[in-house]
Amino acid sequence: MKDALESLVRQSRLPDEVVVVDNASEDHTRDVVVGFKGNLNVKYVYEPIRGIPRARNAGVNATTGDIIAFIDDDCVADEDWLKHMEIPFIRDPYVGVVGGEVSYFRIGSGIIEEFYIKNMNSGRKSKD
Amino acid sequence: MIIQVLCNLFEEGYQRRERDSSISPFFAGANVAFRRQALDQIGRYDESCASGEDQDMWLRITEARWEAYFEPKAAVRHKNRLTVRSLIRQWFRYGYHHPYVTMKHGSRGVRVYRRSSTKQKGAIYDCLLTARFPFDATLFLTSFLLMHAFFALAVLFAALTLGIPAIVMGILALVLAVRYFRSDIDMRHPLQAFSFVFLRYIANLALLLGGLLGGMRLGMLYVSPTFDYKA
Repeated sequence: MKDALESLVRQSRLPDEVVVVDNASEDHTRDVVVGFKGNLNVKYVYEPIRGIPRARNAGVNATTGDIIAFIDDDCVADEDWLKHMEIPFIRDPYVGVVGGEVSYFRIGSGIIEEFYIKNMNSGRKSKD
Repeated sequence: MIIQVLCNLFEEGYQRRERDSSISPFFAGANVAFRRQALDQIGRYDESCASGEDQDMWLRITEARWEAYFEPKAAVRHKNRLTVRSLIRQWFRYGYHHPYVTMKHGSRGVRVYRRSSTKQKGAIYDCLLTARFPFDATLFLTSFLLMHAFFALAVLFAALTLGIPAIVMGILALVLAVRYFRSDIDMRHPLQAFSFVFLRYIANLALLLGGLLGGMRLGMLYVSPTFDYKA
């Protein structure tokens, strides 16, 4: 999750606010979030009942912005992620949802990672 | 009966306004943004979804006539820490929870296929048949399913000592198996190719079994959309 938050600090268009939802984890999520207070306007939310939709809703309910972007804790955003995400919303008031590309990248040498990289990545050139 | 051509639509642009309405992709929850106004209109994520919540959101937001825009430049990278066990569990979960989304949305739910990004942009994937019978069944007829059906028939005919039909069915099963596995076969890396064949097979099997059991829980027959790749 640290990598995810660090990638938000590096955004070319910084997020106005960041909400981290801790979905009943038993690690040090809160401490990690507190460590980012100096760099991001970050809020920690604890959701005791497990479940992805539940966690996402808890996050939405803690936000105040007009556009709400989601990223998972095991993902890392490109520097221009939010910049590109925002443009379609600004350009067209009828746009209700914008999706971005999720690619898989290698952190080990496992055959299953290779399998995912082969099968799930799109035609765009891998950046790693 | 709906004939569904699975397309990989994911080139930048509007997904609803400019596309064939019979084809619905969806955005992965790991990289999606909503306009608050749209969320306030359609409501929040469905907390009854243990998986398939992204498809559900897609169906609701497009139903409410909001535009959906795909911007590939808004990129995130996903780190995988996967084992064979987690792969099987993940695909079983997908299968198990998808019948709920299908049941909730009817034929629109059927059209949402779980693949959001694939390796070839613009490639047209295999034609699938989707049928909804009066007794609420959803069947994705894929080459994965067909090769097993032909194989079962070949065994059946052989057991009945019907030589010619057994051979014909056997050949059909073999042709489909070759077609199914072809994209994984790379002779420069035989061990890797074998592993890919194995992984895709068990992932599909887990998806199929998950779908059958998840459908049964809801009192419906659900045969999952197992996946093929064009070589």
